[in-house]
Amino acid sequence: MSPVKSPVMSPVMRTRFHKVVRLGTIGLVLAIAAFVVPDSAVKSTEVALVKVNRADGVDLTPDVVWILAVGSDARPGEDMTRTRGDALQLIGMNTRTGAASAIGVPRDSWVSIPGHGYEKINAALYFGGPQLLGQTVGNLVGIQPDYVFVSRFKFFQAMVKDIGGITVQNPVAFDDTYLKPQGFRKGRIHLGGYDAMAFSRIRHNLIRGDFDRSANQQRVLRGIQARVRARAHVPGFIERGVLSVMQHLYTDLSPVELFRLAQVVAHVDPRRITTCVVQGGIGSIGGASVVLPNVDLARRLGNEARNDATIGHC
Amino acid sequence: MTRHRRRSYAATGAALALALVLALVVGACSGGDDEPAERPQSQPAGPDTVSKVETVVTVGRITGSLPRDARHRLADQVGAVVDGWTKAAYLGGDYPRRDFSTSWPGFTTGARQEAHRDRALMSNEDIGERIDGVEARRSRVRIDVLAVRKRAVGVTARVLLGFRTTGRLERDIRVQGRLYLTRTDRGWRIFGYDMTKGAR
Repeated sequence: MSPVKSPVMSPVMRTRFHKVVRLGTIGLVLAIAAFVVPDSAVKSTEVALVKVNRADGVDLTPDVVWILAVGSDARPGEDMTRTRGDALQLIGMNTRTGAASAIGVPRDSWVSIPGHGYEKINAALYFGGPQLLGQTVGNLVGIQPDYVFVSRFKFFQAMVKDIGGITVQNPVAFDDTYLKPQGFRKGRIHLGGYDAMAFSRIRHNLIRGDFDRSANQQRVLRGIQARVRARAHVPGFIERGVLSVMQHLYTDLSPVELFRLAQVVAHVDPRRITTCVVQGGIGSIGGASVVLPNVDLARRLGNEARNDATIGHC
Repeated sequence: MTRHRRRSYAATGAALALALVLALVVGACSGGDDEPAERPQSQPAGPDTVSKVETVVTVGRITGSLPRDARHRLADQVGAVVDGWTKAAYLGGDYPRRDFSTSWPGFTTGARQEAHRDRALMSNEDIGERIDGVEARRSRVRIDVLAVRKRAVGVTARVLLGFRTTGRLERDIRVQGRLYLTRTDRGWRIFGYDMTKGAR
């Protein structure tokens, strides 16, 4: 029950990473607990107003921070940094504008894993830990993450529970014999810790399988963010969140860095969140069902979001 | 534990200086104590001081463990940083005032740049030329602390500053919100903020 954050150490990114490593962690788990506060664009130019104006900003380098959030399928006793990633979301946050974007990558995407040939993308975690997984996803999308967070679903559950559950907009009813036999109804639904986990994991009864599941994971991220935003003003909320993550997280980032990143996450504006899932075809290789990702699409999404964490369209 | 620190400053006086996460193993303790500990702070007084207001700094929630003496020091240090900003941005200087470029002492470089962009709110830049004085009415700071291994690593400072302007524009103005601070080699520094400013 411990999420892991690990830096990506590809040669190209090493220098940048070390700079960023100084900046924070709590992110994704929280970013997955991404949160917020209001818009910084509203500014006062005339004080003779009863209206209250607001401004906010957070200093973090680089301006756009990229985090690969990984939900590990590790079972109790397994090293989750050496298992397979069940959920892969590359999340960018723009500290200047409050924008954020998430690019979902189907876990069965058939890609080249540096040093290991072609394999399902989530095998990169098994082969080389968070660093190799980050590099592999980075190669697909064209954005190397500044951080990689790996979390177990159990911690994810606990985190959602801690914030009082989340609300998501579910586009289609679905269920799962094992994880959620009674199913999730269509519409605006509230999810507790377990349900949020199940909502993120189920794919068999989804029309587009892995693609729809990835989109559901993004709905959960939005729900977490909305919830955290709503509570960010509560005294001690951010601090407790940081501590909670630290208690369940392996990280080489300092507490100061974690605190700063947490505040950045808290300043993401939910109105400026854009999400897309890398699409692709379904194939069979070696008897295994795989996703043949649309690499051009993945690169286009990466190119659009790289500098400002905003995606125009999927 | 709650701690009060009194600090006063001259509204239009010269520049005043300015002056997280523990329990990885044990777990967090979170809560507030009440330990009144008021210490008058020395403050500079400008030649045209029109009022004195003492900033009351209160320690709110502490997440983690932080010894009491460390809390006192922290309150002093963070209070000084916040005071440095409020004085440079709102209460200090000679009004009518046009130059607010030095309004953010105690901010990190990036946060200073952000604040400059928000200068109409993060300083009196929007009204500086229409007033001839500022009278502080109240100044309160409540800090929530993230402490690790008995050392403060992050602070959220909840700030409330009230002042009245004189001159062509007479208004009661309230600035309030949150400042985020971490300790750097140069002491506590503000790296982010979420502030509002309103008048009546």
